[in-house]
Amino acid sequence: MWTRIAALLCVLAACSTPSKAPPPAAPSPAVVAGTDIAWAQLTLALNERAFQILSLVPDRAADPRLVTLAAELTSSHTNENVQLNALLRRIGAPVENPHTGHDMPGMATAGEVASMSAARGVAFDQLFVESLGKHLTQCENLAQSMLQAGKLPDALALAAAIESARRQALTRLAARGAP
Amino acid sequence: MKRAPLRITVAALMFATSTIVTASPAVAIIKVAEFPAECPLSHRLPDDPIVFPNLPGGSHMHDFMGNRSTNAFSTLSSLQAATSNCNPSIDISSYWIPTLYNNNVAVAPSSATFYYLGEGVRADITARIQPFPLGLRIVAGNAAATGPTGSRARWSCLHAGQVPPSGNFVTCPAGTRLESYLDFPQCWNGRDLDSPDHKSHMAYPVNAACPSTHPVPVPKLRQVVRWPVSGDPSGFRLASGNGYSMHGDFFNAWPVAALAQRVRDCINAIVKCGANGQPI
Repeated sequence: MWTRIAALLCVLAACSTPSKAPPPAAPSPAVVAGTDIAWAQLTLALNERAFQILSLVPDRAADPRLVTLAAELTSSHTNENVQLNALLRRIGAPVENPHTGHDMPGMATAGEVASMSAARGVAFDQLFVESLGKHLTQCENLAQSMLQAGKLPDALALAAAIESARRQALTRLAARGAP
Repeated sequence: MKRAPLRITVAALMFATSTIVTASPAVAIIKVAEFPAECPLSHRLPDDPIVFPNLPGGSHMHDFMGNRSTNAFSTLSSLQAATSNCNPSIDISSYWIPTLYNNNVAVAPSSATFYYLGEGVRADITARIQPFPLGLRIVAGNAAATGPTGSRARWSCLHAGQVPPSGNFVTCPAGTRLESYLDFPQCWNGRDLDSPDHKSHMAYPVNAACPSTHPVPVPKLRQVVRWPVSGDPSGFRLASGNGYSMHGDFFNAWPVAALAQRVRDCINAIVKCGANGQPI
């Protein structure tokens, strides 16, 4: 009899313990995928900024290969951003990162965009190639970091595609310098 | 230099107290719920382990203070395996802010103090403030502020109280120093060490109490950073933009017992403590 009561008390005590303990710190999926979110937000922001310089090319560039490259990049960046936005929505993460509007590494600054806007011909080409190179290289670096630390399969697949696309664009940009 | 006479006074007072009123050695305590960590600049990197984890070079430039190891890959365990430049050195937490530039030259802060405070909530709530949970990450301030009114950080001048504080850089008189104040949110949701926007697991008090969504009162972390610059602020910028983009990041790695002792003896008890966690 007393053993039973003691056992019952134990059960009751055990049952009451979880309600007293603090709730477990179960991280949300969005926190687990912190790198994936940050990479998607940053790449989105870099692409958005790149549109500012890509749109200058048709009216200013001397080299027709830059005009072709800029048109292709405008199209592929647009497609990437559709996928990046969809990815962030699916994770439930904000589309805008805490640094929206800032000059992040790889981005053309307002001053650089103004200089490019004012330049024409070969002078424009030089400024544009330098600025686009920074953008492509930063995107490539971020995608490589993402491929090492990302968690979500669809985000990793997108990072692999972007890494490859940036590498090819950089190769074309470099080939342009050859005589 | 200025503190020396004060220290002598306090020492003299303590001596007098211990010799004359030996039974009550705590007679000289100051009734302010506070303890500090003084952490100068440790290193500079374009990294942010909270906002851009595992993405080295992905951030604008940051000045890191406290833990000497912080980089894009930092985790609680990597911080715990490293040392700190704080006084007290037991605080191996990491603190970081956007780098300040003057005419495009990076300026090292002359000091950075992180005050842990009991103010901002009712006295009965101060009495039950809990330590930050180990591994808590917070971004405070509004890095994306587009104007001074969107900012939570305040700029002012050390030794020039007549200059009104502002959300953007202020013009400090020659011989004074530019300083920035930023209070972190002091109410925790009791569950998450971080959140997708790195802010929504924390909240500021409403009517001197923690809201029901964020019921756990924790210390108010006040970041006070000073730079050896003054005068015309037109050459100043932060790595994140204008002065109103000032923000601060905190990654709590305090050893649990050391933080708990300070919260209990300094904040809950409403006693002004020094960096060693003992009454001043």
